[in-house]
Formats: sequence, structure tokens, C-alpha cells
Amino acid sequence: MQLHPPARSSGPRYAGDGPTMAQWQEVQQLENTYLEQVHQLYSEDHLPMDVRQYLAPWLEDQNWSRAAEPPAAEPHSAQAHMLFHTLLALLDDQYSRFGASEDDFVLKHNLRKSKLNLQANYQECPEQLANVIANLLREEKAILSRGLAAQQAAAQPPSSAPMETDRQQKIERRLAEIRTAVQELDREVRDLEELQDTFDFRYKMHRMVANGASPSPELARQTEQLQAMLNNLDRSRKCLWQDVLARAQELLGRCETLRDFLLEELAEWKDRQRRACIGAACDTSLSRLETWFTGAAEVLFQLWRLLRALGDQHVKLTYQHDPLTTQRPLLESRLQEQLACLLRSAFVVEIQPIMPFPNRRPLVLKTGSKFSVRARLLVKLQDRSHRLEVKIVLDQHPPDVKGFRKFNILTSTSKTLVQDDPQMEGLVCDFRHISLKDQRAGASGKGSKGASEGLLAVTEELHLITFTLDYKYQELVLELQTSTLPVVIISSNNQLSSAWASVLWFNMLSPDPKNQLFFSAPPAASWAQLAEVLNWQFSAATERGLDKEQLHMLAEKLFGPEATPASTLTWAKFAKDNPPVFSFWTWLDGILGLIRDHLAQLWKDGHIMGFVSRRRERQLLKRKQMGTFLLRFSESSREGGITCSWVEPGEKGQPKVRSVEPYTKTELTSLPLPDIIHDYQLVAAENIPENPLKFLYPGTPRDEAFGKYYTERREVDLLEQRKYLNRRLIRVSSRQPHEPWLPEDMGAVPPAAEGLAANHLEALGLGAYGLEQILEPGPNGLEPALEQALEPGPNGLEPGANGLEALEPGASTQEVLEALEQELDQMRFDPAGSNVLRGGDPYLLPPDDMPPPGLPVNTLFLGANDLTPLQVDSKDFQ
Amino acid sequence: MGQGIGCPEKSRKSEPALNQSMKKAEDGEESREEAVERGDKQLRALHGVADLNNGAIGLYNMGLSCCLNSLLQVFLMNTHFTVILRRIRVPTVPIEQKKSVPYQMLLLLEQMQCSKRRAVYPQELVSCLTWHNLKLFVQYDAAQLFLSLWNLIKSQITDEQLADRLTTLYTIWVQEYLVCQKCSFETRRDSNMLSLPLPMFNSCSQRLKTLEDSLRCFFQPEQLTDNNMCLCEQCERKTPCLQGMRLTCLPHTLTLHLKRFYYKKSSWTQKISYSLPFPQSLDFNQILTQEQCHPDAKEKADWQYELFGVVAHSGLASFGHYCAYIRSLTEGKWYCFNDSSVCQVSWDDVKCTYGNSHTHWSETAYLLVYMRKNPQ
Repeated sequence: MQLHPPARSSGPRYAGDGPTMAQWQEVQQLENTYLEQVHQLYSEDHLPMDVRQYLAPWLEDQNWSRAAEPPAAEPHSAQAHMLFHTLLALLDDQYSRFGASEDDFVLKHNLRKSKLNLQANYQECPEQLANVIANLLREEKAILSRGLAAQQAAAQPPSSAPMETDRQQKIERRLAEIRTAVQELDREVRDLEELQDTFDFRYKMHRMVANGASPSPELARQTEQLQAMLNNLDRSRKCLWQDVLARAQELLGRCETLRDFLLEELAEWKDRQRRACIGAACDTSLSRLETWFTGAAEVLFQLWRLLRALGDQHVKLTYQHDPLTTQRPLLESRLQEQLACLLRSAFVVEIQPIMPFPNRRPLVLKTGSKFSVRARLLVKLQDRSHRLEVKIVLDQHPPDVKGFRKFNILTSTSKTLVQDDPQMEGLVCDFRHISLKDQRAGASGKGSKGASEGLLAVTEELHLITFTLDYKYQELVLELQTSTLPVVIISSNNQLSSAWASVLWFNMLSPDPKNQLFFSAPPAASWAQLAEVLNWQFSAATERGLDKEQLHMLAEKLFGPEATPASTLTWAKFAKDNPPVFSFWTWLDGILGLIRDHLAQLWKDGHIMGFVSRRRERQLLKRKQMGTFLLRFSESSREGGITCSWVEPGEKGQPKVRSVEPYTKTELTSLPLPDIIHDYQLVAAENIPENPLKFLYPGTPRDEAFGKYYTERREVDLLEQRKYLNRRLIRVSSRQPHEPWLPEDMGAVPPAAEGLAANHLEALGLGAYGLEQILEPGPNGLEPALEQALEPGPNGLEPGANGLEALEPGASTQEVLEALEQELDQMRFDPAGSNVLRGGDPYLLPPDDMPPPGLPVNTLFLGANDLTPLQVDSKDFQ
Repeated sequence: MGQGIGCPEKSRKSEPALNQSMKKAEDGEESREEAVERGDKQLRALHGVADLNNGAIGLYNMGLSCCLNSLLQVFLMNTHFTVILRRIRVPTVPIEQKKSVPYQMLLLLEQMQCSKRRAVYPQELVSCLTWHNLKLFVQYDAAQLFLSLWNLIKSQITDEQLADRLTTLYTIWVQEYLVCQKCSFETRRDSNMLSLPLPMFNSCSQRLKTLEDSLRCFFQPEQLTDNNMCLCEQCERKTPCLQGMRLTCLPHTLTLHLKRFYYKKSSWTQKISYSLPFPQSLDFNQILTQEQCHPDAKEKADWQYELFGVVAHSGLASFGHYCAYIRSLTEGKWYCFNDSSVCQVSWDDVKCTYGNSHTHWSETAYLLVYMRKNPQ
């Protein structure tokens, strides 16, 4: 039987992976120090270097060590004799190739001399020569590897090379060693087969001759020779078989260690993937693991072929107590088990299920929405004659829980593993465009589980998608399975946030990646674990994580001032909304959404301090110059809100810290925060409106920090006839001069009597060049004004609409402001307005930064046909 | 209780004549004699020199002899054992030479040390063992074969002093006790063992997690009640009692035997392949409680051990392969011996023999040989 040469086409090459270049050639390319060692090696006249040179490929291809160590009980090595004579013949051949030139004359002389010396020295003991050559080749190899290692070390500065762990180096080294060992074994088995074939041939010839001829001394001599050959063959076979078996045992032992290394690496990859799913930045590339798994499987398959080849020999000839009879089946079982183990673990989910929208949050699937998922087999060996088909099934073993929903996977549930897709690396199976459908037809309403209310909430119900692959390669048939991480299946977008909370909690805490009943008794998370995961949420969604101070504030919010990394938070406290109180996660996810949609750049650039308590905020701001401000997330807004807090002189010269009512996505949609900050006005009776926001904490001038984010004001063509006046939305807050400011430490709701003077502020739109301004007193209360601000309809632009007074073009800003103040005076003490503003949120936590029952915010705007909306919020403090 | 030591047979041969081939080794021996007087340190240095060329050489499989080969390696790689082996008196009569197990082992050792090959054939030793009814082509249990082999060696060492040294090198001494639960009368008995047969499950049939746990479980006293009650001398009737043992003395070379094979009635012998990690160094003072040590226990401070060898089994209970992992005492490197194939390995490879409940054919440690850290 002809053994296949080791498959080496796929996968990168390793050091020691078969001779890529003749050893002798490589030796000659070594650096001088190492070349010197080679010269020393050949300084003694055991084997002349010219012989080494001329016969390099042949010398390297023979098994000298075997020839040097004939099996015991053998008088002399037939193999050594054979090799010796072949060597001499090859030298003669080489000799005859030289021409008649002068150079060749010397060469011819040297070669002749070498040959005669060899003949004289080793004629009687060719084993010695075999031994010498074996040793020389081994030494050369050692020098070569030292030299190459030195070259590599010089070529690769340690910093540039990717950090390899100790285990990764061990894997590489071991894989290379095992490959070499298997190839060596392979060669020895082949040698024996050749010997066997030679014998068979000569035996047949002899029989043919002997049949026809009468007995003669010549024939007798041949018979004798054949008998000797048979005996020799038998001895080497016994010896070799034992040796091959022992070495195969050894190799399997070493492969077991390799397999354990690989499983550890894979476990680490899975862990990385899990963390990457919930936002961590981890390397989840599989190419390296694929190389290793494929390499290990190749070696094992090769060893298996070898054992089968031995089995074939065993069929041809066997004898009593043949070790092959007993040991080979044992080896094969052990090997098959290893292969199965390797292949089973090599089937993985490369891309966990993910919907194309909303991005970055895998493992949350919505019924009826398409999602994709990818399985991959890390052993990239494919038998072309078999199609490898992957089947996909949801909840293969559904947990026995009342009301556990069942789903159908729509469109195709099977697919073929493709290797040759140039788009993708690896043996992958991509399921795209599949979706889920609830098996209960017409399942009741949004997210509700209707009558069949189960034990677990919809977002706590975990489902597994399992892939099954009928693997077949050569003689090996296996069923491989792998499962995704648990997915949460929702039916409505408003469940996205709480579904993601489940995914976070599971992947942060579940020790068993397949525990579908995790939420029947969810463990608590320590702050250390939670802080890391929360940080990932920010870094994944916004490219900027949370710093120490910010995390500290969150810890205090959750656990109070005694928070430690070991403080624990229950699942219910983390994510269960309990109206009117909303959960920590709902609050945080609202802020995440706000950042992602409206504040991405500011957050990324670090202008938003964000998570800072009021107390801390006061501490920070009071020490700074007046007009210093910071941006902080509201703790009372369910959908995420951001506020500005600044410091200004108080009544007795004490610095006072003020905050504006939080802006939510409603406001930020129409007016970006930098513009709000830029145009923010504080309007008070006795002085002109001013922007209290002067320096971003700790001391960056406002425009320096935010200048690059301001919306560009479009230059208006003066010559162009404009149909409308230019307008821009801004926000202002008004202040009652006669009313006392709210005391600093009044976090709670101020006395109702205070600050009730509702100011109807005007929406003021400043013209692009302040020529045409329209002052428009807002209607009672905030909401209509806001509506106008948000939806600048024609009404809002009409001069004089809603009883607005149109100012004459050309009026100075001062005039405008005076008019404004008049208006303000008129509208002061409007009791109706105060209530409108205080839009109570049923989900408010005990207010921390709840602004005092404020004054109605009115929107002022001016119209012009340069439509650059700018909205300024107005807020009164007292 | 564990296996007792076979009673050493008094050998008839006492001729002190030296075999010619032994001359060299004996020369070294004399200097060693002096060294004993001069101190242990030098002794160690010296027999280190004697066995310096004790490289790792394989043994060809003579027919299902992987178990024997593994054990031979564990013996012959142990320089403390070979020191004793080298001092044996050589039988003069050729036929007796052929039958002497220690002598044949010594010859094999010489053959291995002089060999330029990777492996040698233990032919003579095997035929000698066959003589003593240890046959080839039989699947042996390594723990049993170890006892048989050791007893054969011991019984054939004629020099009593030397035989005692061998005993000291391997024997574990314990005091067994039986306390009557009625009258608190305690019966004691000194006993010795060649290996500690360690359980894989505790008394409640729960998996033991580590070797240390298994050792603790082994020394845990056991309540004997109902059918197991024993006769109390004082009460003069069968009473429930507490049976246990106290460790008196640990030998230099300590053999532990994991009971991975279990026999169910009317069923096949089964192998337990789940993982039981064992440490590279073992401190008995950390494992045993005061009550589990004999009050007169000597050299307790020296109950510090380091792993020297692992005899691992792969395959099923009825059908498998043995190999040995041994840390060379001269080089400090680990080798794996698979019959004729020997290779240097790492601690990771040895760890691989902890076992794995998912595989049935992998290598699992069966015998563990620990060696005292600072030999006295």
C-alpha cells in the first residue's frame, strides 16, 4: 500500500516541518560563527566534506541511524552494507561526470582519494560509517537550528512581535515536534514496505526460475540468499513494528498534551468571545486556533493512516504474539477518541446571533426580524467527496418550564460548510436572513405572554441555537454539535433594553454558558464585575469608557458611601422596573442612548463629566472661578437627560451653583447641545441677559472647548430678496431679581410658595445679522411654546402671530431686550404657568437634582429666511 | 489494609565471589562504603557519579510487557535503589545467576548504561521472571506486579543488611487501631505496606477532588457497625468500633496507588478515568492531622516529598497500555518511557495523566512514586 505523503498544502509552515530546502544548502547560508562550527564538525576525516557536498540530497534522504543500529541478534546490518555500496556507486557516478578541465582534475583527484579512504576505513564495518553520518547530520541540524534561532532573534526586535504566551509557544513547538516525529515514523514504515516488496519480487522471480530448472549450486545459493533476506526482513519487521508501536504510543501521549493545550486556548477564546459580546474589546480572531487545530488533526489523521498501513502488513504476514495483533486496535481506539475529541471542540460559533439593527448588541433577537449567525469548523480538512451539511435548531432540549415559548426558524434550516469561498477564511457556515416566528399563532400582544404566563419574563427566557454537523473525513464519521450563547427573543423594540440587561447579566455571571434557567435564580453581581461591564457598555457604544471618578459616582449611587468592589447588586435591583421607580439599568441605558444619538462627539472628547453627584459637583465648582460649568447627566430622567451646572456669585458673595433643567432627546433633536451652551442666556429683570457658561470645568474657555461643535451660521446673501426673516432658536432662563435664590443644599422640593412667579419668556430668534427681530411672547406655559420651537411652522414665523409684537427692522439689541423685559414683567406672577412646567415624571427617583418648581420655559424666536434653528431653553431659579 | 511485605526468604547462596563483569561496579562500591561513614552528602554525590551515565534507555516490549517495562524503569531510574542493587552478592552457579531476579536486573542496568542504542531487550530478565511465574503475554495490574517484583527482589537478596536497606527504602509503617465505642478499649497493631492504596471516592461515594483529599480520606477512621462489628476483648462481645490508622514512618521512596480499577460483582472491571490532580511536591504534615500521625513518628519534619515517577495506564481495564513518566534524578528532567521509545517531556505532559472524565482511552496516572526531598 502506498502511503500518502503528509498533506502539507494547507496551513502555514512551521520550523521543522519537513525539509523545505536541503539541509546542506541551509547550512551553507549560516553566519560565519556557525559556519566555523560546521568546519570543525568536518575537520576530522570521518567523512570528507566533498562527499557531503556531492551527495547532499541522497545522504539526507537515508535513514542512517537505523542502519547504524541494526536490530539485536543480527550479525551485521544489511541496510548499512547496502547504503555503503550505494554510496560508493554514487561517488563513481559523480566522478565520471567531471570533465577534463584543470579545475576538475583536482576535484577528481580529491574525490577519488575520498572514495578510497572510505572504502579502506569502512569496508568491514559499514555500520560505523552509518553511525558517523547519522551523527554528523544530527550535529548539523543542531548547529542549523541554533543559527536560525539567532537569525530570527536578530531579525525580530522583541517589541514588534505580537506577544505570545508561554502556552502558545509550547503549542507551536510541540506541533512542529510531533509533525517531524510522525513523518519520521512514516518514512520508516515505508522503508520496511519497500524491503518487503523487494523480497516479494525476488521471491517470485526465484520461484519462476526454480520451477523450470533442475537443482544447481547456483540455485541453492540463491535460495540461501533469499532465506537470509527473509530472516532479515522478519527481524527488522518485528523490531520495527515494536518500535513503531511504542513510538505511536508516545506520540499519542504527546498529542494528548497538545490537545489539552488547545482546549485551554479555545476556552480562553470562548471567554474572550463572551466578553466581546457584551462590549469588551477582545481579539476574537480564530485564524491561529484554526491553524493549530488543523495541524493537530492532520498529524493524528496521518498517524491513523500509518496504523492502518501497518494493519495491511499485518494481514499479509503475522506470527505468534505479534504485538500488532493486540496493540494496534488499542492504539486505533485511543487515536480515534483523540480525533473525535479534537473535532468536537473544533466546531464553534464564530459569530453569535446578531440582528443587523440595532447594532452592537448581539444575542437579542426579535421575532420577524432577520438575524445572522456563523458556525465554523476549526479543522480545515475537507474530503471533497462529502458535503458537510450543517443543520440549525432552536432549543434542542427546551427546559421544562411552564410557558416557555417555542419558535420556528424561518426559511432554510440547513446549509453546507464552504471552504472555497474567497470572501471568507475558514470552513464556515453562514446563516443569514433567518428569522424566528412564535409557534403560537396570533400570540397575544406586545411582549405579553397572555394567558400562558410563564415563570420567566420574556426577557429572562433564554434560548439556544444549536448547530449539528454530520462530519465525515476519510474513514471517520462523527456528529459534531455546537451551540450559541443563550439568546433573548423579544417581540417589540421597547423590550430591547431589558433584553440586553439579561444578556449582560448572563454573560457576566453564568458559570455555565448553556444554562437556560439562569434567571430562575440569578446570582448577584459584585461591583467589581459590574463596573467592568458598565465600562464596556460605554466604551463599545461611544469609544470612551468610564473613568474612576465616574464609576465611583455610580457605585455610590448604587451602594451608598460605603461602596466597595465587593458590594453586591441583585438582578432585581439592577434591571427590574418597578413603576413609578425605574431601575438603574433603565436610567443608564437611557443615558447611553442619549450619548449615542446626540452627544457622541462631546462624550468621546471628554467634555462631559456626566456622572457626578450634586454634592461633588458643588465641591468642584465652588473652588473655580465664576462662570465655570460642567455637564452632568440627570439622575431623575428616565429617558436620559443632561444638564449644565455653573457657579456664580450668590447673595452674600458666596459662590452659588445653578443647574438648568435637564435636556432630553426631545430638545437635543432640534438643537445640539454645543449650540445650546453657546447661546444660553440667563435673563434677569435688572440686567441684560448673559450667558453664565463661561469656562468648562476645570477652566477651558467655553468657545475653546465647544467652538468646533457649533453649528455653522450660514452667511446670508444681503442682496437676495428674502421672503421670511431669518430665525434661530435659542434657550434662555429667566431670573426673578426680587426673589431669593434657592439655598444650595436644598436638594428637595422647595416650599411651594417659593418661586412660583411664572415668567413667560419669549421665544427670541435673533436674525442672522440682527436686523429683523421678532419678539414673540409665548402662550401660557411651556408646552405650546416648546411645540412651536420644535416644529417651527409658519405660525411661528409670522410676525405678530399669537399676539407677538414685531419690532422694526434696525432696532438695536438693546431695544429688543428692553421689550423683552417689559414682556417679562407683564407675565410675572402668572400662577398658571408654574404648574405647567413641573411636568411630573411618575418614574422619578427621589429628586436629587430636581430643579425647583420652576418657571415656565418659553421659547423666543425670530424668524428670518436663514433657517438655522437654535433653541435656547429658559429656566428660572429662585 | 494494604499488602504486607513478603517474608524474605533466606538464600542459600552466600559465596562472596565477584563476577568478573561486576568488578568495576564493585570498585566504586568500596569508595562508597567509606563515604557512608563520611556523610550522606558525599554519598549522594558519589552514587550520583556512579549513575551519571544512567541515561534514559528504552526497553523493548517482549510481549505485553509494557507494564513490566514501566516498573523496571521506575526501579532502575531510582539511584537509591540501584545503590542497593549494585551491592548484591552475585550467585556463582550459572543456573542460579539465571534465576536471580536482582542479578538479572543488575545485568540489565549495566546493559542499559553501556548501550549506545535507544533501547535494549530485557530478554534474560524476562525469562528469569518467567521462571518465577511472572509470565509474559498476561495483562498485569501494575500495582500487583510492583508488589510481586519487589518481593522477588527482596527475597533474593542474600545479604540481610542489604535486604533491610531495601525494606527501609520502600516500606510505610503504620499503626492500626480499633477503638471499642462501648468501653473505649483500644487495640493496636503495627503494620507495614509497600504502597498506599488510595481511594477515588470518599465513604459517601463522592468524587475526591485531589490527591491530598484522597490521602486524607485514606487516613480517615471508619465506623464499624452492624455486620462489621468486631470482638472487643474488654467487653467480650462484638461491639461497634472505630477503625483507623496512624502513620508511623514514611519511607524514602513512597509509592501511592490510585484505585482506578474497580470490580463490580457480576460485571467487568471498570476503570475510573476522571481527573485526580496530584502535586509535584507533597507535605504530609499539611495533609494529616495530629491524630493521624503516630505520637512517636520519627522524622516528621522530613515528610516532604517530591514527585519522582508516574506509571500511567491508557485504555480500558481489560485491555490497555502502560507507560512511565520519570524525573531523572541526575538531570532533573522528565522522561516518558513507552517501551522502546523514550522521550523527554515537560511537566505539562505529566499533568496530562491527571485523567479526564470525557475520554476513556487517555493516559491516567495509576502508580505515583514520590521521593523524599532531603534524603537522610
